Amino acid sequence: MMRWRSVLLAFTLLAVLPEVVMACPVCFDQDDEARIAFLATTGLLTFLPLGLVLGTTMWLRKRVRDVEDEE
Amino acid sequence: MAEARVLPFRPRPQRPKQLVGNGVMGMILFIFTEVMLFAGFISAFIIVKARAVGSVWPPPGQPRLPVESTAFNTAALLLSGLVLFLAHRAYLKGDRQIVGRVGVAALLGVLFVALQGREWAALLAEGLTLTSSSYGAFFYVIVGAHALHAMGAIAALVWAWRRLEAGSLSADALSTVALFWYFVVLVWPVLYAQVYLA
Repeated sequence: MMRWRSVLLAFTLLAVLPEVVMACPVCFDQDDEARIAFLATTGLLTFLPLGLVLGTTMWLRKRVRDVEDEE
Repeated sequence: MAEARVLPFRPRPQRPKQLVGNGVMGMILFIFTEVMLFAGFISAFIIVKARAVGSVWPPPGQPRLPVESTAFNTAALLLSGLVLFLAHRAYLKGDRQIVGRVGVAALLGVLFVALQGREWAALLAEGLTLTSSSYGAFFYVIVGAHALHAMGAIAALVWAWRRLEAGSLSADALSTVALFWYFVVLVWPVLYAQVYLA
């Protein structure tokens, strides 16, 4: 009975208190070069569209000012 | 008999001036999607390269890419972009004599694609194919996608050149075509640096 309780407690603890899951290659690749590549490309694909939208917004604002100055 | 009513004069409201031409705005949105397409290709390529077995890249037994001859192609493409940029700027300032310069830009683009085609034929003969390795697959997908864009943009340049000759090209249409060509020209050095040099 005591043994089953221990097993149950162990499973409960494993289920409730999971350790860090080493599945994310961005955080846990053993190879430094690959980890840097994952981080760099994640940054690129995150910030590139934001930069494109921001750049276009700034350009359009400048166009608005130019048109207002012309008028 | 009904009396005539005099309506007060109301001037027609002025349409606000268009900030950006429809063609230019459409091309900007199209270029956004293409930038993300190439960013995805490059990201996948960087990761596969970083995780290569034994950190050996290119994989053993695969031919090396012709860095020097492609540098010449790159110079031709950049020159084409510069020629078109100067012609485009002159057109927007009122100079309508840019037919020759647009033609030169298109011809330099054709030269770039033709030299790339010759390079591909040599690489295929050396054994680098889409299925020979991930190196070959990435090379043909990335460089091939760029070549397809270049051919599309050259077709647009030729269309613009013919309309210029006929004197029926609007400034918005020229800007739209020029934007497409600038994208093709400016994305190439990034691809060249990543695929050929890194």
